[in-house]
Amino acid sequence: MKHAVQPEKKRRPWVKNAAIVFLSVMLVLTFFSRTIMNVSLPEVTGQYLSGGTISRAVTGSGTVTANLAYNVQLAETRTVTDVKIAAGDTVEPGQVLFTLEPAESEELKTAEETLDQMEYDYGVALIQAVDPDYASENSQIGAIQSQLNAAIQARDKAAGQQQSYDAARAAVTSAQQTVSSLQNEIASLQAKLALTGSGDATLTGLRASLAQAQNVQASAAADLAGKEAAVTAAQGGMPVDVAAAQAALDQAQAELTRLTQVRDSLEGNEELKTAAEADVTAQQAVVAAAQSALAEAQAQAQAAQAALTDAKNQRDAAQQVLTSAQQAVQAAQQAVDDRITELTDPTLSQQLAEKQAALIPAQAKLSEAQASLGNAEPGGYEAACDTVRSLQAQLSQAAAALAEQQRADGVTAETAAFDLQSKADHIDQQKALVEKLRADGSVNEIAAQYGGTVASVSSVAGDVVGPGVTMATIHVEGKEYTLTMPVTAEQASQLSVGDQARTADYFYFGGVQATLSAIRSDPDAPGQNKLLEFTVSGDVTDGQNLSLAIDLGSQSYPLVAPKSAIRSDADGEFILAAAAESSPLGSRYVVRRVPVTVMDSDEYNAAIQTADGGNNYYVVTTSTAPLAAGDQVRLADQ
Amino acid sequence: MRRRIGLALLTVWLTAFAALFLLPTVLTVTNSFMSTEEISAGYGVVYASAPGSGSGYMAQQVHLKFIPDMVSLRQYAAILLESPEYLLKFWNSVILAVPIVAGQVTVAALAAYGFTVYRGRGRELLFFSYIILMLMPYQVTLVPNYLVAKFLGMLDTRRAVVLPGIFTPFSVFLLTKTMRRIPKEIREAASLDGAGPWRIFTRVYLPQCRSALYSVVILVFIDNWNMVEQVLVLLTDADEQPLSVFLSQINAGEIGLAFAAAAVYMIPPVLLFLHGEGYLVEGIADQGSLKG
Repeated sequence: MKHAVQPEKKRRPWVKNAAIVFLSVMLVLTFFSRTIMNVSLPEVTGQYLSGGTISRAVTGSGTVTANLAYNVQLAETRTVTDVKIAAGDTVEPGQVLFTLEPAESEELKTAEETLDQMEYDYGVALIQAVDPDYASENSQIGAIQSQLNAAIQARDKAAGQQQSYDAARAAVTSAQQTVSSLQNEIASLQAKLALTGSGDATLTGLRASLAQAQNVQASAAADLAGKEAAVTAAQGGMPVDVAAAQAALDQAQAELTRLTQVRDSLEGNEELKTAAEADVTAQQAVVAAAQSALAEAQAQAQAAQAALTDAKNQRDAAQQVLTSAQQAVQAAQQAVDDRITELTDPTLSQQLAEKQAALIPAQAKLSEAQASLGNAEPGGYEAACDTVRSLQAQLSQAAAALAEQQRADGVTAETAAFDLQSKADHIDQQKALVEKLRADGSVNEIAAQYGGTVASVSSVAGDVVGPGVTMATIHVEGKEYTLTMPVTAEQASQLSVGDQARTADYFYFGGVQATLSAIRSDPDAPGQNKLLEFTVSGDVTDGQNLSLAIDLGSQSYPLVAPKSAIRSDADGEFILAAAAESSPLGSRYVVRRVPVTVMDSDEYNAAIQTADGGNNYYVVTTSTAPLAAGDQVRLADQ
Repeated sequence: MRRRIGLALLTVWLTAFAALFLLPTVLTVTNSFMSTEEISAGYGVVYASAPGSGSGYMAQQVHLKFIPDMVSLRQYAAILLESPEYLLKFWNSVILAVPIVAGQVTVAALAAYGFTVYRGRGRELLFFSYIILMLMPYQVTLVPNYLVAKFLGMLDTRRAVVLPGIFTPFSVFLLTKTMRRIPKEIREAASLDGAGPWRIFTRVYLPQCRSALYSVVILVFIDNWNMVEQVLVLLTDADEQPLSVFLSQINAGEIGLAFAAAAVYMIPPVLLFLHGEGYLVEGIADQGSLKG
């Protein structure tokens, strides 16, 4: 055979195996093809765009809190042995919340000690409250009064002496005036006579003698006047404070006597006695000082008396010199007159002789008056007046001091009485406190005052809880509740206080009433957020989370998409629409970016506007993986 | 020496031609390892000009590239792991091509045996009409096929494609020519040995025609693996259309996957060819020698 067939040489076994493997692989891949694709492609859900209604509402959620809450507190420090409640529990009025360890509290011990101290202080104050004694002051005033009486008698006596002295002085003055008048007349007559007898040498010599004698007389008179002044000065310099020093000594001695009596009455109280002893010692020093002052005053009085006597002696000597000088003048005058008489007109001489004759008795009368004046004592009337005024001032001062002391003692007594009453009241209050603490100490359980929900418990068994420390907070039931939720400032601007809210939770069909009671600024985001405060009543409990919505009206739009389908990026808002693209490999769903403008929105949906106005977009709302435009996806319902 | 130079020149010339013919295939294989973006950048003009194309890289001209910038199996992953339709269409091709090949080989072998063994007045006339029919373009018979399929109620079913494919004259012609080349003495000897017609056909003629049968299988398979027109006319249901239709539409939006799809699409014919390459050459050569 020309064309023998040799198939064995042309076979290629690997090709057959390869074909089998290839087909097997393709078969397996085909079997798992949809599975692999579905795993690799993101699954999306969505819906077709259609017209709808946008019901705008402001929604939010918050926690309901009771408006009324009270804190469980103790009046005294106690130890908690058991806690019967936990946060969130509902308690009834009277239900036991905590049990306490039966023990006397620190507050009770302290209160009892305070009470003891207060009673002790009250007793001490009672003892110290004694009536004041004014015996020493009264005796001092009596002494001053007697001194005053004596001084008044002395002053009256001195007043009589003064009258006779004044009369003597007046007589002297009158006599001096008479003498002076006569001397003037004589001088005038002598001058006339001198004109007539100027040529007579004898007369001139006589006149010179007369002038010399008159000069001597004038000098003696001036000397006498100086001595008189010295006597008066010595009388005025008589110290009058001997009596005052005596009175001060008597007063100091009376005070010393009183202090000594006080010291002696404080036998047994060493502390007070020591203080009184010091006062006595001080007063003794005062007495000694007064005694020395009295001695000094007496020495000064004696010295003054001696000076007065000396001045009087000198005055008497001057008086004698004056008298002799006057006699010399008279003799000289007589000689002159005689000579003039001899020489001149007998009329003038006669007149001169008469005047001279009248002058002599006048001078004698003057001398007599001066003598009586010298015997008369001025009597110390002014000094006695001063003594009386001083004693009157002392008496008034002592009486005023006594009155002031009595007034001050009255105030002190009133204050002491008030303090005593106050202490007594405080003791009564402290006794009541002690009794209350004793009564509280016997209570070993704390019960709820009101029914409600336990908001928090801050004490555990074993805690030592002091007064005023909050052990638990209970929100009282049956009252209105408050709910606060944050919204944006834009949302808040559409609301007003008084708006009614509905519950957005689907399981609440009714029974809850919520009213917007306040719109406040959110402290966490001021300017951006607001806090809406609702007054909630009805079927709610404390601590419950509640979603509320306030409807703002609704409007229809041709295109409404779920809010979750609206996306945004730097280019603006858009939706992703899944579009079926027919390809040789079949229909594939690819997402496309469709720019939209959001016209309005509510809680769930948004009204949109697309550039092409298309309403047959299948809008992707959810996806199992992040999507971008152009991504291939698979639809969940296909 | 002159003969050697001529042979060398001929070799170069033929090699150049072979390379020119291989160029699309090599381009397909190498480009199948490019990323879809690289393909879009390189063939963006094609992509952009395709109907239904969306956005993408735009190039002013086509850049033929053999070496990928970055070797990627993304295309293969896309068509093999993420495109169930591709795999289904692959099996659509298998479902259409394999019955056609099997049926055609069976029918053609029996027909050729008849044309070889039985003698009658109209035998040559009938054979001639087969040859005439074979020479006609397929498009000529497409309309009658459509009418018949519609008449039989098979339109838009795979049978409308498979049945006309089974009764194709080329393989009958090829096998008839091969069988007629087998000396009738062999048949007579077998007959004398007591073999009946079926036994003679299966035991004597078919083994003698193995090369031709392989050739028929390969050629018919390739022919039907690549069929487009009859599917588009007779099987409009896209879910049942074969991969060949998809490849003809590959530029309509899946440019990035075209090369990998084509590469995978090539594998079955190539394997079949490699498996029966010797028989194919021998069978076709036999026809030539017979004709000569």
